[in-house]
Amino acid sequence: MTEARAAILGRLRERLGRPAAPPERLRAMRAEVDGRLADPPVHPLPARGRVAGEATVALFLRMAAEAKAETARIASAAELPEQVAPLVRENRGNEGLLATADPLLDGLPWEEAGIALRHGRADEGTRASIAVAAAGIAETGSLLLVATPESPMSVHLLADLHVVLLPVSRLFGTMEEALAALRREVPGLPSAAMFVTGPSRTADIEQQMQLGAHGPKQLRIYVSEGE
Amino acid sequence: MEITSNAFRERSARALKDADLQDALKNLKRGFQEKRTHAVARLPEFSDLQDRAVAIKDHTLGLLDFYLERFESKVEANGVRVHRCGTNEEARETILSICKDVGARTVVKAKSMITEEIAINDFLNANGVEPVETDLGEYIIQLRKEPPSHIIAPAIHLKRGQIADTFRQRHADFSPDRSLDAPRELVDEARQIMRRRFLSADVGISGANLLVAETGSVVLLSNEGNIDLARTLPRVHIVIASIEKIVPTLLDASVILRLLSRSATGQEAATYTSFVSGPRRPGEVDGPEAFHVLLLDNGRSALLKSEFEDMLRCIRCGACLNHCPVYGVTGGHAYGAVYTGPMGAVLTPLLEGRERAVPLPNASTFCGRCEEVCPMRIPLVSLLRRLREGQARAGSPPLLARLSLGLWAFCARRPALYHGLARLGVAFARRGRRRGFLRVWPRAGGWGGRFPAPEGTTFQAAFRGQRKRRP
Ligand code: SF4
Repeated sequence: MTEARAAILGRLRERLGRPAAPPERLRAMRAEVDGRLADPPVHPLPARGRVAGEATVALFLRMAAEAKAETARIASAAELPEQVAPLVRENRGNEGLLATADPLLDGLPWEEAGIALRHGRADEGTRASIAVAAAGIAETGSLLLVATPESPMSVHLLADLHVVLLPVSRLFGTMEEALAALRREVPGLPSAAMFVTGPSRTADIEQQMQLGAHGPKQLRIYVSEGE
Repeated sequence: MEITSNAFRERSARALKDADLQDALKNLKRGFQEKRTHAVARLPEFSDLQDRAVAIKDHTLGLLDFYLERFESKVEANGVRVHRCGTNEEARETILSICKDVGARTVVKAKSMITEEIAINDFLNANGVEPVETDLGEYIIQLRKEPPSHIIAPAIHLKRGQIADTFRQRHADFSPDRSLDAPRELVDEARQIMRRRFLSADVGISGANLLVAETGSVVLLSNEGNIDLARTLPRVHIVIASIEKIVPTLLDASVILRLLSRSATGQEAATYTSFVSGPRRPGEVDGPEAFHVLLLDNGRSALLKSEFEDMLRCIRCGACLNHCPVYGVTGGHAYGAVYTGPMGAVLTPLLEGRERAVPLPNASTFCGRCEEVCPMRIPLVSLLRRLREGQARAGSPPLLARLSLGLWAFCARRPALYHGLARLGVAFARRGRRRGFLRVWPRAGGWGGRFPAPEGTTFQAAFRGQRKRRP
């Protein structure tokens, strides 16, 4: 494969006229590339996403609902077990709730609400799952979910019912701001960072939208006031 | 797939007589055109973002050798194996050897045009590895042994009854008496089957929408969630992407993402947009243990600094297909190629060889709607014209004249099609009426780019109206 490697680069350089270029010109180009990567130019953000305070929450709720997510506001995460219990019980049988390991979820009275909380990755039997978003994006009503040892990606993908807690403090106007915040925490990005906008869907049959193609059929987002 | 573009005329003639196909193609308007128009209108900055996106791509293409090196070193630092492949054969061999190394028996695939381009499915099958398409549309056409007919909606040529018949024939485990009348029932059946496939596959293969040099990330978009499942569950993941997918930074990627979903499906954002930066890390309990990125050239480098370089900006959104009057009546299979519609009419001759796709540069009314909706401002009409000029220079004018005249005659002999196209022309022209002139009228160069907007309707419609009013 090393031959093919060199060949492609060689072809590119040939087409771009590098062999004839003077060395200082090549150095300047390399500097331009490295400069742009080290200090990326900032593009203007759409006006819609430039919101603050309560307007951010309102926009998020509106856009998430438009993307067919269900939304609710709660005062704190402590309300979750009571809120989520009927959903898990009514629709999904009794095999419990698969959760990402998160301090915001761990100490809550799940058992009192009749829910067996489990951790780990999802499997074929997973019907309901709960996670905490790393961020929310008001512009599009999206959630940012990130792979960590505590938060396996399959938790967000295999359940029929996916519940996500989004603390208001993690809500941003745009994807750019959410990514910047993530990079401050995880330099170089995690192995996977996924923006989720509504439940899974397909329009492959006669262009009619159906929810729950391969991923969750129902996405329920709780926006909480406190952390 | 085998390229059969030279049979465009015969195939399109057949397509016009295919009632199911004509019915299915009506969904283009409802499904794509109206939604795109609405989504673009809601983002006042759309046109500014287009300018930015074009500048980003042009900048990157001009320095692609440097950006390629930067992307590779980043992605390798993330623990990814990089393979550069010059040709389709090299890409196929590389994928097969990765599969063989891990003893893979099944591979789950996320929809990717580039895997169609390298025709990986037949190759894997022939070598004892079973590829399973997981995107619902791709899965349906894989069962039917058909090529995709649209770059983002591969099964758009089918009606639900045809899909139900296919499922009945191919899903032997299910009760023969089950109902499959509703799209919901079809989706649920496929979902059930695919679950097991995702969980048991050894390798996942996906394409890439963008590659980010700054972070060494692969950007993947899907609505179904199948791409993320195919990436998360199997122990090995392979990404295959062509070299022009590279953009410098995450901020650059964000600009293009704002254009892509809106242009493709009229969504504000795809349901899943993932930035993937390597295999699972210590402590993580899912995600692939091994991660490979194949970077494919297959003719791209030859387009750099050529009169066709603009085509390398294409982000495969499908808007030009959705708005093309020719595609709208012939569907994708008539093109006999992986890439269809206006972008396919340009790309197929460039990537597969001019002589293998002679009719495609002429499979156009030159109405210009494709250019108008292209988020990356690719001058598709000019590119098609250049290809035709190339054909003329290569010395086949009689054939050429026959073909382009042929297309007109072909339309003229089919009143429904001819009127449809003529009405479209009028609709386009009418939009200029408010201003009293059209700023862009195809081939109105001599009018200083402005052309008085025509009044009224098509001749035929006016004629019919006249007749009706007579006693
Ligand atoms: S040519 Fe333009 S409109 Fe067509 S698929 Fe490519 S980017 Fe989209």
